[in-house]
Amino acid sequence: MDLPRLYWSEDEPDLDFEGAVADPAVVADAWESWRREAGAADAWLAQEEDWDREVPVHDEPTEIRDIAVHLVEEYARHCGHADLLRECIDGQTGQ
Amino acid sequence: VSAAGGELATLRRWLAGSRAAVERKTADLDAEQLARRAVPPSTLSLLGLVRHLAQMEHHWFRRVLQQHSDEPQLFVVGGDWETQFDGAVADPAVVDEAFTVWRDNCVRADAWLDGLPDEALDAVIDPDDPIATVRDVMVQVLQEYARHLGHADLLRESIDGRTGE
Repeated sequence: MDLPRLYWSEDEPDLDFEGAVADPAVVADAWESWRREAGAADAWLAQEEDWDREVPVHDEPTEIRDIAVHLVEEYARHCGHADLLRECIDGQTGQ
Repeated sequence: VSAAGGELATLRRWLAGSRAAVERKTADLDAEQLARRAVPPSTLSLLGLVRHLAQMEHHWFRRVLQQHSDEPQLFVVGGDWETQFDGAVADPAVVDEAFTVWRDNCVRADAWLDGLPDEALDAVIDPDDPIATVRDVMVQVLQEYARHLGHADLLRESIDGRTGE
């Protein structure tokens, strides 16, 4: 919990979206951050065997399984946003 | 493990949350708003999504998990899957039918899930399909709901500006 949150500060809680400007360096940084974090998450999940184990989330004990399901949910919902954004941009549809 | 814990309980809590989010995203709108194709060029509407989610609940819980594959797919006419969305017209009777059929299928799915022990999540339904076990089906249903809620987020914001979970 000592790591700083990415693309977030007290003053700019929506920095993830507000800071997403049309600058190739910002694009490259976003991809690099996302792939790094996904890789680190995969490496950690591969060694975690007890999904009943609880960790604190906002001071509430939460099962690791609950967090994993939450991530699936979060990805799927944002993929839904991406479906409509992409179709608006260039008409591309499908998975 | 906390009182609310356990794998099936966790999955069911997320399922209930997704269904409740669909209710919130479609609340306080009339038939025209529900049927509006609000994010062109997409042909999706909130009403089309409710019809599709009814079909999705019925398909996975009734046709696959309870093995009633003889029952026809809901809101699919003449084998054309697009009729789920194309038939979502601004008619109060069509709206009532969609919500009634969707909610009815949710209740029936819950009644079936009530009798399911945690171990049943490992049961194999179709070993040749990537969605092989009861657990796979539950995760598939959750991800279907979440993806379509993503569509509902942008449709609702386009219709009347409402955002939030």
